[in-house]
Amino acid sequence: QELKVKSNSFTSDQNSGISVFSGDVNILKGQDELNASKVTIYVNKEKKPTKFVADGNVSFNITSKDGAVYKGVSGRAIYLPNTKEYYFYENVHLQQLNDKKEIMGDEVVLKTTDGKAYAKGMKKEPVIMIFNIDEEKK
Amino acid sequence: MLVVLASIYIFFKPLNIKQQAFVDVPLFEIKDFTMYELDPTGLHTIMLGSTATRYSNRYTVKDIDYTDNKNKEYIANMQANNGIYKNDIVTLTGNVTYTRDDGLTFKTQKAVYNKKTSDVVSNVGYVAYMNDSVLRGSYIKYNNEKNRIFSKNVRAKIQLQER
Repeated sequence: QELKVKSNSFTSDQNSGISVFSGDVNILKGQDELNASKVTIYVNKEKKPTKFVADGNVSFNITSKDGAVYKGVSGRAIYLPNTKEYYFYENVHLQQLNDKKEIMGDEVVLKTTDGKAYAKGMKKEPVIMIFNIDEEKK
Repeated sequence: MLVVLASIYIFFKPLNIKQQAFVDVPLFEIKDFTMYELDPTGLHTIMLGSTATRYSNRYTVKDIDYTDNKNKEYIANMQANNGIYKNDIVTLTGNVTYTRDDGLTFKTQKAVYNKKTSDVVSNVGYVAYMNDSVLRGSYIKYNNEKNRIFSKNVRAKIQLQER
């Protein structure tokens, strides 16, 4: 699949296999979108991307395989293209738009293949989950 | 006699002929050439062209095809409509193509290559092809020795290998 990236600047060190997009970074992948201040891409020997690390004002829109749409913000996000998993860190606020669920925590894992999200809170703060339950009509 | 001498002084004016200073004159011109530059370590530059004019301090080359053989790991080749090869700087203009034998290629309309530092710089917009990814930007600085790229105002298309 093709990834479209826009940024103010780009550096790449082909010896270490690390490329960095910085400054208003915008990434589009199919319907998914991610914005951040900086995105670091790690490539393997075949020069294929194996990991994306987004840092600073991360905001995202993600559609999972089963069509669930997730939207949210965090301080940091890691995407593993081989397993299609997202790892969000630092003040994560994740909303699942279809079912109106929300998760706030310090570490959230989103597996887009099975559409599941796992959350972990800070030591003193719990994970907050909000479910909007439609009340039965009287 | 005095009158004659005096009249020369009065009637004759010095002609104002502009002194032509031949400063930048072509020394020779060669056509359809291949130039090899060697040093004790071996062959480090190959330059071909349809026409080259040699001046005291530079070559101007048409249809330049310049190969820097110095880098042990990757050979860099540059082609352009025109090139100026002066000291250790190659200035390329018109349909510039920079190719490295590991597959990196970039195209622009103007680039300056510094043989000493192995930096090639373009600030007039470029398109680069790396493997099956495409990178566009307004400025690029690429170092063939350190394998490093820096670019500004970037638009990239990267192919993902997703299972």
